[in-house]
Amino acid sequence: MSQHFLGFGLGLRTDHLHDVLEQKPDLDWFEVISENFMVDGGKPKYYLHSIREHYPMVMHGVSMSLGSTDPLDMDYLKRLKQLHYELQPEWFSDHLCWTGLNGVNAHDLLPLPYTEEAINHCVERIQRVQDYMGRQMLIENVSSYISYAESQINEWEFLREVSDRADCHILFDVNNIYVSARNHDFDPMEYIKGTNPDRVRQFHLAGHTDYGDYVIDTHDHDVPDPVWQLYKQALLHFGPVSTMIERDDNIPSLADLMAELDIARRIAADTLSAEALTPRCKEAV
Amino acid sequence: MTLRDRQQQLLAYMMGQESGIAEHICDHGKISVEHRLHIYRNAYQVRFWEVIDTDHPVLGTYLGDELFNNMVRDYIHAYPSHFRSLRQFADQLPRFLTEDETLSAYPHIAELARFERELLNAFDAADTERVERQDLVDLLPEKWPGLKLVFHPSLIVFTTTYNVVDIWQHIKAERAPPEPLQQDETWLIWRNRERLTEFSSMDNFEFTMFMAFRDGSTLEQVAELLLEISHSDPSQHMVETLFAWLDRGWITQLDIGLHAIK
Repeated sequence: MSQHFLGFGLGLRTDHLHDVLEQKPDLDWFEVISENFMVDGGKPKYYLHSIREHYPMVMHGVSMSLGSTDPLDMDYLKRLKQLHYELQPEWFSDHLCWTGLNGVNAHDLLPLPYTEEAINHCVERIQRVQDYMGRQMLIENVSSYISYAESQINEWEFLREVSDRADCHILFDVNNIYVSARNHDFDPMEYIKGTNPDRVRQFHLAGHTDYGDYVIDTHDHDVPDPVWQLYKQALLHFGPVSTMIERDDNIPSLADLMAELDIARRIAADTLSAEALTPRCKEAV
Repeated sequence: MTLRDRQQQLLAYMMGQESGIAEHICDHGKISVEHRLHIYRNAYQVRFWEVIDTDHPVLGTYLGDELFNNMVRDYIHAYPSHFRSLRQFADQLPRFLTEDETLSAYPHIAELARFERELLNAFDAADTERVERQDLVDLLPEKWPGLKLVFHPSLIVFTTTYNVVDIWQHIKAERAPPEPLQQDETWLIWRNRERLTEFSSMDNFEFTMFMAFRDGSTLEQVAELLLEISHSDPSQHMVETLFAWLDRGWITQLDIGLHAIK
């Protein structure tokens, strides 16, 4: 069993805060969007701390802009560290991308060219973040709709180089790989095989919108069959990895999401041994 | 070309500015480079539209789709986000509405937007403990003259020259809004003990009393001020008002010099 395997979780969303606290659903952990709780107080933050008393949590950010050529936002990191102190999460993560420039935040996860310059730039910044936070972080692959002509390597080689050189971990978004594979005509299995299993700490599962000729990463649908199939392949390659469903829009009831999470559990149970799938927190009990 | 150059090109494209990014994007598969780039430009617009739509539901209803969409388009252009969180993106919307060529002709619209933003500010202001009615009752009489108050961080004074709160309430209740009227109003917005946002109007007595306490005056000083403006003994009215504030959870500390009741 992996000592880092938390089991099966969900992204904690505002729509479900009350239900989670009331029902205490049978799941192993929650992921919270860090920026949503970088506020001084209020009802969502009250719920967050109350829910934290009952579940392990991980923090997931969307604004670190690791790949931007603007300076790192130290005020952002200070607030992140404060929230990290409050929640004591199992880990924290952000995306291998850039989100803005010249102080303008596009609030989008924008792809990088896969060049030596970009590798060096990201590695240096991840190392600085890890030094500041006092621990390793996870970086997530983003879905994309463009690829740059100057890229010298493919995306999974880029992810591998950055994570190895920066000595950080990977949040492997299975849906993003499916979306990008469709948009850029590559084989998602190549991506899985090209990723270092020792680096992968977490899976994201999500849905998307399929327009036939291309796919948009909308997180507003159930996880579709091709992503479930890819998830199974990822499990075979990486072994037990903490898995969660990331739903950001058109959010269904908590019960529906729990039912969807059961599909992930079943696939994992069919793919891996029961011993491998014992979450770390439950084993300790 | 450096990484920074490429990032400037893509961001400029997304923001609708002139950009040479297209020639640096691979042309392959079934969709064109232009279509690929448009996905990012469209997402840039839609994302911010959704934020303003969520933050300002009443303003959206009041303006109607066409005016609202035009306002959002122009606001995104005039005030690109410099914030880490989308929560702050529309902070400058009331200001923008006083500058916009079309909408500035209707000043109550900026005031309506400002009211909705203040509701949001009260919603996620800092938390702190609140004192109860009994804490004031238990205070020794000789301590009362030197009493100062510390208010809950969510308390916001909203002063306006239009009947926008009435307009807001009508639209919220799905009723036809009244005509805009120019009139001075003072409201207090706060988050209650159940963490729900509330607001209530303040008359001149309560407003004067609140502002004096908020500025650090003691109860004795506030009483003298109220005696001047009301020309009668304000004691009874003051005590009733203080208890009402305590019941609403406005007060977080009774400060009596070296000792503070929290």
